[in-house]
Amino acid sequence: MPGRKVTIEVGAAPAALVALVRSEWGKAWSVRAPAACLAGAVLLAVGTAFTLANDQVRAMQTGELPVGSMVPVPEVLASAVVFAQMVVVLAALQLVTPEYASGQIATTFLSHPRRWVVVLTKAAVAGVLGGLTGLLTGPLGIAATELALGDAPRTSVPAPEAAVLTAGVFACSAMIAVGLGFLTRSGVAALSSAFVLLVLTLAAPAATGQAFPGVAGSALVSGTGDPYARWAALLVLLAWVAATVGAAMVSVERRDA
Amino acid sequence: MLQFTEISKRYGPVTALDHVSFRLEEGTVTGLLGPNGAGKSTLMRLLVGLDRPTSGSATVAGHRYRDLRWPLRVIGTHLGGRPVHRRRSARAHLRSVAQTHGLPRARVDEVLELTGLAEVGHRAAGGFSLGMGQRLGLAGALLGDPAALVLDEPVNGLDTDGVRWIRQLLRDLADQGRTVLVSSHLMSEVQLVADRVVVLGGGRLLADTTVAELAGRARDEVVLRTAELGADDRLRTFLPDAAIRPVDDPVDGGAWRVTGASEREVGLAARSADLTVLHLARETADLEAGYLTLVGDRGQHVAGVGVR
Repeated sequence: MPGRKVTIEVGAAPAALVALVRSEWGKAWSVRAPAACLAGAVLLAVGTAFTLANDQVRAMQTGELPVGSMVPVPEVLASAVVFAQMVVVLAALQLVTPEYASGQIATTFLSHPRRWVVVLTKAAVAGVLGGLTGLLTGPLGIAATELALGDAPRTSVPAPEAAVLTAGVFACSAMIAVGLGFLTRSGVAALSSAFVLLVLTLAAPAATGQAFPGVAGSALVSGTGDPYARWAALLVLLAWVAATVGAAMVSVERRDA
Repeated sequence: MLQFTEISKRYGPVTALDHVSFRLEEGTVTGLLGPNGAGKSTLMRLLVGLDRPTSGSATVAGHRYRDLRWPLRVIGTHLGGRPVHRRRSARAHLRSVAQTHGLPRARVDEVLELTGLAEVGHRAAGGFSLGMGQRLGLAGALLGDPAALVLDEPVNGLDTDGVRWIRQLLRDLADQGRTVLVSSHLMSEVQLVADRVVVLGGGRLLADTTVAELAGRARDEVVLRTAELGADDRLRTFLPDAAIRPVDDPVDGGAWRVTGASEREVGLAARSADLTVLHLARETADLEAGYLTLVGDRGQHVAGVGVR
């Protein structure tokens, strides 16, 4: 029996990477969960910002805070963003852990057998989704805060700046989530570890907490310089992205799929 | 086309595959046989790079799977189950796979049509039956129009029509010059569709041969049923060289399987032993008999050791 003529190409190629990115981007939109989570993150951040700002106004009305105190709008936004980023984490995990639960990950690795590239691609897609969500959340969060504050005095932040800062935090937490998803291969385990890294460490003693991405995200948006400046906060976040995504890339190559 | 060279895989203390070597030629269907835990699925996972061999290698057209730039155009794989996000529609799933290889949307519709899923392509894969899941897996394997196909238990869960359809499909694919490796525990299916068989047992290669040769390893048997119970001692007197054993599931204790004697010899012996013959027939050895001759007890004690 004569064999079929097949041209066999080997090695990585830009075209294969572009195709993978298109596929992963399409997968993120072909189920509802990721988009629903991202919409939820926006609403949660906006709602939280409004509530926190309203609390400040109330505190001034009841005399808990001296009338005429300056309300720090960036700090209000920072609290809302730190809170809502767990929902961004949930959205990013949708790109990874359901694939392990259903076995789809095998199909993904069969389609693109350089697995570390798959990890990197999913992290990039999640980062872009998180970033876009942040670009929307930042200005809306500011608007909600301003609305609740009425004519109370405040230290404000320009909407474009809020957009970029929030986008940075959401993009980083989404990429960290993808790394954790590949490392744990379980939705519950990844979400729990993200909760520890991003939220629980906010309550840790300052010296410990400042090494974690939760505190760094808060410092990046608030810009209070506590415990460090924005550039340092960004470096801490990026270090966590590099560590988790890097560890995931090594892990998928070493483990059996 | 597909080559395994001294490939071994250990999972902790369990040796799933032990220095297995064989190659598959183009235009053939090869049945991969063996008891549960024999290493069939492991072998397939090693070939397509999902698992890493402990030693040795597996290659597709001379290359490691992970080095293939467009792997799905070279080899299509379906390892069973329903490896699809439960909420994603069958069509969206196949499109996402097609996109990784720059395949057009029309190709997705073609394989949906080919596998009989065109009507249900819009439905979430989580709601698919086992048989529909198998068809979806096959659709994915065929998407890249590959030169080789690796299918793990593809007839599991298919209805009679589905089984006949897949039999014809595999035959057609091989006749087009493709290489097909298919595992199954249904011997009759393998006998109908395969040209060659590779038998694994306890992680070792037990046979790499043609279907006809393996079937021929078993000897024909003569089945005899008599009105009298416990007639085997009387029969042995007249058939000293034959092996006589009771039929596995005797209805009345008077049924025997005789190897090493013809129908005529058994009939004459029954008359000499003054037995009333109710049934006498020769059973031709088939693939299952040949397989059992080969695997025999080995199948028993390795069953349950499987790691996946």
